[in-house]
Amino acid sequence: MSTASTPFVLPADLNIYEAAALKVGLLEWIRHGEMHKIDGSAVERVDLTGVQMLLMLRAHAQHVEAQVRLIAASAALHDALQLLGWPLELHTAQ
Amino acid sequence: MTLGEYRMETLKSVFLIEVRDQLEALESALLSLERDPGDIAMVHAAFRSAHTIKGSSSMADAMAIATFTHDVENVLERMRNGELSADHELVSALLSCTDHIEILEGFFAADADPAEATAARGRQLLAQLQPWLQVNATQKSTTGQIPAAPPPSTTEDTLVNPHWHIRLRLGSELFQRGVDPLGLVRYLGSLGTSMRVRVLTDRLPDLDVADAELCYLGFVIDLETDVGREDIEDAFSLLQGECVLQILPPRAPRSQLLEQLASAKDNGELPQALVADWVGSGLLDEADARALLAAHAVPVSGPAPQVHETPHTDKRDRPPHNNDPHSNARQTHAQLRVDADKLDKLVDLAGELVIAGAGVSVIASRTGNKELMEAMSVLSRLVEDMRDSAMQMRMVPIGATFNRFQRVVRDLSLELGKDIELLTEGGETELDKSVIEKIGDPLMHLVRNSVDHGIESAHERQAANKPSRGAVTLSAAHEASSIVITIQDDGAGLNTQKILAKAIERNLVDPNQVLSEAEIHQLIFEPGFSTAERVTELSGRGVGMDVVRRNIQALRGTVNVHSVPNQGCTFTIRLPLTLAIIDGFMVGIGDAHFVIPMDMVAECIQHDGVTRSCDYLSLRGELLPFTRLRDLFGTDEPPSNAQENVVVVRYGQKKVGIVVEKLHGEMQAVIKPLGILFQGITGLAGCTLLGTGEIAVILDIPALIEGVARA
Repeated sequence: MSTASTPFVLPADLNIYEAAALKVGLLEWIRHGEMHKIDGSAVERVDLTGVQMLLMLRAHAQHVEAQVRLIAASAALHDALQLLGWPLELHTAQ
Repeated sequence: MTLGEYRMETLKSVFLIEVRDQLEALESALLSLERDPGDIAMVHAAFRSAHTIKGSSSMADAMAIATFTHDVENVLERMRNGELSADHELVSALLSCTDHIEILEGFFAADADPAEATAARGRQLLAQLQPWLQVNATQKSTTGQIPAAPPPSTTEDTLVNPHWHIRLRLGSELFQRGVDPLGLVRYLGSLGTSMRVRVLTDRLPDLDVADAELCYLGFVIDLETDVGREDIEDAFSLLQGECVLQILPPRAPRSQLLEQLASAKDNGELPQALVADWVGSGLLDEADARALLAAHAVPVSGPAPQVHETPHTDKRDRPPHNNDPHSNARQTHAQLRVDADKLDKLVDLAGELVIAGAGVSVIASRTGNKELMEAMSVLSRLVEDMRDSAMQMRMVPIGATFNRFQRVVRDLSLELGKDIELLTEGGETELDKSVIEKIGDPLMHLVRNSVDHGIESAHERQAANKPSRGAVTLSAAHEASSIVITIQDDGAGLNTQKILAKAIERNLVDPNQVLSEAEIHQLIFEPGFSTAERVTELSGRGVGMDVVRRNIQALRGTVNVHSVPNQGCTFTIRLPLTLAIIDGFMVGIGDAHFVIPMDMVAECIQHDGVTRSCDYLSLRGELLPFTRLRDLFGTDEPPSNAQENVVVVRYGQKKVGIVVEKLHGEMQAVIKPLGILFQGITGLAGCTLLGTGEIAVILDIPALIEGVARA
């Protein structure tokens, strides 16, 4: 399990097939520490389920007064986020 | 079948289920509207149903349905916008359209193109709708085809936006249906020259409680494009179900903003959030926004700060919990559609398991191994519990069946020029799916009968000091292990003298026979009996009450009539909860086994063995007729010298004794039908397999009681 210092690496399938497992992983991970980094460089396939999961993570982080940063995004993830007008505000570029 | 074909078939069956549901909802909304034309919630419900039918039929490529429903939806949309009111004529026209959609659905289900007569009927119906589509033709319908750039009118009335403004709330189950809205957004983007998307996140629940596979999002999309509204709407046709879509064309009339605000509440939207979107998309400036909200009579002081912010930033201040009761309800009442055949298979298997378990129990008790017997009793209990829950799954509320009669009563009373209201009670009462399916016809007949013969004309009613509006009440309730359905009317009641005269005329009773009033009333269920003086199209078509009774008896049920002159008539149907399994009491003659349904067994007594000249015995001073099972089904061999017992069975008000030789005790019986050979033998309801592999015959007690009472 990832800790605060280790970035959370998003799976290659950031979609409905992994959503339930991802939710469990993210909830466990965010319990530790206040600064969190997410690594999206391994994401190969992404659907709205995956993006929604990140949006819920962001809201949850705000709720527990933690911070989340997306430190890297693969082309697939980048495209999806760009299409949706960068809804996450997690990207370091923003 | 290839995977693609398989997917199409699955899609088709999902579509057919959905369309049937939506047609039912549409019809019931229209009927409510006819009663209460001001019920705006019903207008919205009707519109949503028509919209869903159109959307899902274009997705399933049922273009005949989609095209036809398009105009129906447009009329409903105009009703929703307050341009039309739900008068009787309009509702009638729309109900005819609903019927037509059902016919089209039938063709689609059979993979056939609509017959020419059907197509002609469709054109005729659409022509009938035209007047409602054309009034105020100057006013733009929001779903009709609108050119991408309507001619500019006065700047006072139109907005300045050059782009389409689309607001979309996604249905919660989209992901599970395999739809990825990202693809939709991508496709929209390909239609236009530029696109801006914002994600609506205000309904996101906390990660802790969220279902990862449900969709909580929405989009606000500003799209610059040259394509028309139809093309844009088509892009959304993939999103069946609960999606809420609002489209504002470029340079839309300002009135459309007010319309969208007016419907905001129904869609669960805050008017302030909508206005904030419009400001964000450049449709309005802030002064306009305040004016618009004021026009909508929303206090501007409170939500003003939100207008300055973009929608998803303003939600930051709020707890991210989902407080929308609607979507919570959706989460907790998750339902799963299961093929009825699969359920029947499960119930069948559970039944077999009960039989097999009984068999093992017999063997276990023979071994005398206490531990084994103990374990078996636990196992038996579990198997029975499992069977009960499997049976429970087959139980469906009768309300949907009841609601179908609203339309029947409406159409019939119009036809007969009567004013009749159908009231229903106990629609939540559940009974076995197979019983529900089979009770529809008898109920239909009885309801038609009440409307046609039971309720008098308004004129006659007034003369009898009754309200001119007649009432037919359908109710259902559980009573012990039966369900009781009553059809009650407040009409004139049965004409006892006329029934008796007719029965004598038809040789159904002897003229000298003394009959109680109740007995005379039951005569209407005799074959070949009909008192209707004129053969109406409705009830006098040769299908008499005897058929109703036979159908109900085939369900192991009974029907009775109770009538009070001038106050009305009540038909009472008593049905078993389920057809598949019964708790039985096993008895025997010689080596043969018989099962009597447990709920009909009143008591068992020892037979004194005294030979009497008549088949009656005294049960605590009461005269009890009895019959010997051996006389009914026995072989020729003389009765053994064993002790005889009398099982007292009861059905309704009647009691008789059945003389048997052996009492084996309680058991559970899975009812299997008897073969064709046994048809026509009264007194047999079916058979069941015993744990030992032997067969026991299940007795049809109501038929036996009738036989004994007559003898």
